Amino acid sequence: MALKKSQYIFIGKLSDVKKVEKELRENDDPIVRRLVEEQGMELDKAIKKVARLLLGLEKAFRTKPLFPELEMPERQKRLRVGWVDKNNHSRRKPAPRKTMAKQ
Amino acid sequence: MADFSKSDILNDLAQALLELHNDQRIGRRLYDELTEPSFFHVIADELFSRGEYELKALGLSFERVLLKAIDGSEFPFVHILLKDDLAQIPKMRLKVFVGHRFVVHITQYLRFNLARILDPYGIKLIFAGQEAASEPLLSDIKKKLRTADFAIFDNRETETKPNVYIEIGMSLILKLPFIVCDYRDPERPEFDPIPSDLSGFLTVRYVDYKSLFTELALKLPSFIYQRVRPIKRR
Repeated sequence: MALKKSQYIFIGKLSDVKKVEKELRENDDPIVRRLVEEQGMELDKAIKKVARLLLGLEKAFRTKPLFPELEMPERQKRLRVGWVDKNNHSRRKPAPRKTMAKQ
Repeated sequence: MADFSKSDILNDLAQALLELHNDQRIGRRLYDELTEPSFFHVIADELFSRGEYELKALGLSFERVLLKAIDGSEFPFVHILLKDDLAQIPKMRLKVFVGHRFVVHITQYLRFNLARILDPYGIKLIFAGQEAASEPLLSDIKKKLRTADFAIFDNRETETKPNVYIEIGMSLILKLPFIVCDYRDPERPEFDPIPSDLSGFLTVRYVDYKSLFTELALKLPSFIYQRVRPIKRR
């Protein structure tokens, strides 16, 4: 069953497109070479296209599907929605007890 | 020379991309461009001849591994790995309990394939009855489930020996996250072996090991981050 778009979570940071393009240019990449030699594409255009496709694929892998049908641990649920229990005073330092002065 | 052709790798890449597209993780336009021969066939060429395609600057790597079908024949599998997952998941030092029917072909090939797929993440496989101990099998299973971080169960050929569902029940009680590999026999498409009580849990439906491992490889990192890591951190 296909997932809805609200059922994704993006993990990590996408690679730097400039660095990918630089590596494709310097390493005589076989995909770029094929585009240039067989389809007569300009080198710059071929590099940009291959970088875009590879980064698109990387983005798909970084877009992790959520499994909402599963029972999620309580702690994670709270983290996801930024849940704060305002009534939970357990960490607050208890107020000093008022004691009656000895007479 | 390997007993597979470039078209096997092409089919495998196509299946992985289709799975991503069905999950709506890649749109129609990108899917069409990725499946163009100029892109798709060259990656398959590289995987066929060199076994990998990698760029240092890219967060992804493509690796060809050989897996085994239920009849023992080898087939190539394109494992597309996110480098972040490769850096983070091994640090968790995870152990997975694998439950399945104890017949030679399943024991041999399912374990072999799982070991190949989980190896890059440093996940250790544990099984019941590994040691020739005098301990009863059920208590050994309980012990192994307790030491595992998650479990993978396969229901293939369990109609007459449904032990795997007992193990699933034990995992539920132990609150152990698990994935059920749900085998569907192509000759009996109407037969649904999964008990309805388990319908809400993560199941990977498959007809052969190729379809199983394509989907499992794509879903496993998400499953680990969402279900296994929060429990591991407690």
